Amino acid sequence: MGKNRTDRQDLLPGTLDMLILKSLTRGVMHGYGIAEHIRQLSDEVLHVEEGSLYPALQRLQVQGWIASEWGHSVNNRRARYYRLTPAGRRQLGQAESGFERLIHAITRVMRNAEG
Amino acid sequence: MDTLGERAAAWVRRIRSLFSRRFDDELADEMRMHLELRRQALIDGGMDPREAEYEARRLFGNPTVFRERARDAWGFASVASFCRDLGFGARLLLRHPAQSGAIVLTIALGAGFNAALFLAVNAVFFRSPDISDAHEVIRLDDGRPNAGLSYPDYVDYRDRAAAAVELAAFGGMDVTVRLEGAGAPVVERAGIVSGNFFDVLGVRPIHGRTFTGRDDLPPLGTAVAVLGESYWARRFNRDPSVVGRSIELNRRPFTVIGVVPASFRGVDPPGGAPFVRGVWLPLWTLPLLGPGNRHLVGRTTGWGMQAVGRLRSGVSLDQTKAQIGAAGVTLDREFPGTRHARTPWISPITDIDTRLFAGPVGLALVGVGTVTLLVLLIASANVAGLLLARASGRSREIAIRQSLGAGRLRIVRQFLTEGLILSLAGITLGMLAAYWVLQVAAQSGSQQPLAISFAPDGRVLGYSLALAAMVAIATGLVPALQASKMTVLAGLKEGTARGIGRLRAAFVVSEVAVCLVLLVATALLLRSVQHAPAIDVVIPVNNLLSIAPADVSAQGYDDARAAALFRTLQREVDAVPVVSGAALANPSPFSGNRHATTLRRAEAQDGQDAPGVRVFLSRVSPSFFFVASLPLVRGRVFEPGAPEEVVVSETLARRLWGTASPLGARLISGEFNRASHVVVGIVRDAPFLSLRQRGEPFLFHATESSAEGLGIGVVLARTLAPASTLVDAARAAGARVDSNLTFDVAPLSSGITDEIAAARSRSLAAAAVGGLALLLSLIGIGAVAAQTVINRTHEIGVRMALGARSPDAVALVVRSTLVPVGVGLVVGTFGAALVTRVLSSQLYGLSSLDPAAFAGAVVMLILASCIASWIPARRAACVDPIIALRAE
Repeated sequence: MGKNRTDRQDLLPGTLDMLILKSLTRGVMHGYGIAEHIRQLSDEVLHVEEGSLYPALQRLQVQGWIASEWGHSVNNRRARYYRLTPAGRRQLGQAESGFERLIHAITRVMRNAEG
Repeated sequence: MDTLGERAAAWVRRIRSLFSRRFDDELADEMRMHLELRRQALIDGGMDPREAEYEARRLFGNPTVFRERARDAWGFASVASFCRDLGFGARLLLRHPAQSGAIVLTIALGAGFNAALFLAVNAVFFRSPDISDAHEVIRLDDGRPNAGLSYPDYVDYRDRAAAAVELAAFGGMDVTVRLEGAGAPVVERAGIVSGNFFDVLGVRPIHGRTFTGRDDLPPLGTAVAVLGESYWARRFNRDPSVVGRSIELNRRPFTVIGVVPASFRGVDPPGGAPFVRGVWLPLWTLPLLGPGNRHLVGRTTGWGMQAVGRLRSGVSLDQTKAQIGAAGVTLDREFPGTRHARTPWISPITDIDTRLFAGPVGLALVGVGTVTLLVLLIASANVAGLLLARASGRSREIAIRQSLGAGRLRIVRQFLTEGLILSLAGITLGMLAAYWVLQVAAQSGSQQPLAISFAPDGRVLGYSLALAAMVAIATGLVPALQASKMTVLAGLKEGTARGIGRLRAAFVVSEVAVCLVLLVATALLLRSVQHAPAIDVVIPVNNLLSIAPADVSAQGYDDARAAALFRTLQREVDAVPVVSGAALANPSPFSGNRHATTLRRAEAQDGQDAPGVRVFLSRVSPSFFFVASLPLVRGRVFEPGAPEEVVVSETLARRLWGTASPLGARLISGEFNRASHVVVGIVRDAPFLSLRQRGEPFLFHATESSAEGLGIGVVLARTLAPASTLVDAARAAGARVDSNLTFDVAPLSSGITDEIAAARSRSLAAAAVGGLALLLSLIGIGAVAAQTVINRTHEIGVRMALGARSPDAVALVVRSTLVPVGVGLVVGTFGAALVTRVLSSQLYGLSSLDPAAFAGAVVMLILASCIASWIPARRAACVDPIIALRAE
């Protein structure tokens, strides 16, 4: 537990869904895989209680953006694998562009305020 | 946003997930694997296995919370968790079968009266008749549901609205049926119907045929009869050859032409015939059934004939209403003054006639309904107390569930679900018991099938569910909120008994208050019935004998012959030894029958009518006042052969003339067939209609003042010996007049006895409700006392260790229970004083604030409460100080 708590950032509301969708663009994954993927790619900065992934995965399934089926992992354990649906891919596109606009706007505000 | 298709697809996925029972298991599996993989990864990173286990859990968060949220994502969380609560609740309740059984029984008892009332109201007022395509069938009347239509009016409505609706008419009367070789004639209820009646209602015969228009042609229909299936089974043993056979009705031969199925119970409006009619006859056989029968003549007469109709195809209800309404207006113009202004009313037969609830019927239903709900309230308070006690016993379980992540709402829901299971079971039991009791009570004393059915239907189901939900909230909400308030720490420490004790005391206060109101009402009714025999009835009823020939018109008497019959009977009875005089009266005092009319002063006519007074009237022979010893206050009785002379009661005189003398004044009676009278005397008030009604305005006029028959008249005989000893002699006198007639002979006092008996059975019914309320309250008080013993065992132990003796310990518990009882008594006394006023019209010469009734109810409740709390309090006496203190 070498990491300092203060180095970690809570997620912006609503971004977890986007991160999950984004992770799944790399292919089929189980829940742990998604969590690990987000953790590693964010250099362990983004803090999310790993368990909160599971309600989000159910939510995305209700929306029809991801689908799941049971399979066997590399070390032959039963696991539920999630994959992106075409609708999910469309949704990710919208979310990404929206998010970019938001980040862009925030960055500009912050930069101008500093300058 | 989402398109419709996407939303529908989401619902399909949701519903599929609801049926996937492995949802929870799969999620748990998934999470378990996640934790395992994370732990492994941490160990691989060089962490100590035990620390890794902990760290994995910390990173993951609370799995229970996430599982709940994952379920919520599907939107069926409420359904799924409700089912789980249901299962959990049921298991828990089954683990304490005695206590759960007691609760269910308490609710069933408390709901029983209310359930019976609803079943009865549903059967009488709400259920629509069982007929095919009932939604096309309408009822029609003149705006007064009980008055019915006159036959000529019916014919006009039928013909003028013929394009929109086919109308049929029906009424009822008793006929005397004599079967060949079947002994004595039997009176049977007959439906008297228009020729198209069965066709309009779509009733198909199971044998033979039903009536056609040709069977029912004026002035005289064909003497044919249709039998009801149950009557056919009862009297003819289901013999199909009955079709074509001749039966004798009111001494006239009728040919049986068919049998209609038992499923047809008639279409009488609510409060109509209680039993299914055995025989059906065409309207125009009425002249055959009773010579001089004028039921079908004239627009002013009404004999309760009702009209129903079936809308013609493609015609709306509104169109029919318009046509019928127009016909009513035309009739009013063409035949003014023959009826109250016609306001034709039509409604689908399947609709509930709300007019019936206006006035006394609705008031009585609201009154009785309130009382029964109060009883249920008491039962609910008891159950709430029991659940509360159990909630405090479950504080550990609740604390554990909270620490595992159950929200407050979750705990409340769990408790409410348990309450719902209990109340559903209780209400169901109460309904079944009520149904059974009603069925048995309604069938007792008669094998004839009922025209109404108490069987539960959709409305009963809905009402039961609503009642159960109400009881569940009333019983479960307070314990649920209380339980959910228990914090984790307090729960694990045990305690919070004090707040719960206070709540239970509040329940006792409300129980006692409600119970006292019911007990006071019961005491008032019981005491007033005891008073009734002492009421001064003014005339010597024990020395008056009433002799009434039974239904003379069925025996072929027309009005003129009937009048002669009464005169002969009066002479014959007068001649009996020990009879000092005989008189005619129609209706007889104390017979329960009444005639009423509107009366106004004649001289106040300046184009406008003087205000009318509603009066009861009786047509009597001049000898009546002597025979009945009714004291004359002023003036004289009327002379024979002076039909316009009348005698009025003191109240009527005061009502119309105040203190002025009415002697010689002129009066006008009636709305349509107006008659003029002159007052010749005033007699004392007497409670002729009911012992409760002393000062009703009463008018006596001469028997020859009207051409109408003496239908329900009697001959009154003044006897020198007690009237009951002369019953046989009077009957013999009747037989000398016409040996074919039967006579109802009874002392006049029997009417009073009957009235008191009816009042007594009403007050006993009230006593049953009051007794049940008392019983339920005592159970509640006892339970609170028992809980006090448990909660204060420690304190009692200390006191006993310090020298208190066993009786002191018992007194301590009893006292603590009697405080809320006392508060409840004060509240209840005020409540009763406010509420019992509505009973005053039911009481016999007793104030609704009768101190004895109030005191009796209070004392009874105090004594009963002492006993109820003393029984569990005795356990306090057995507290062993050593054990009580060691338990700490």
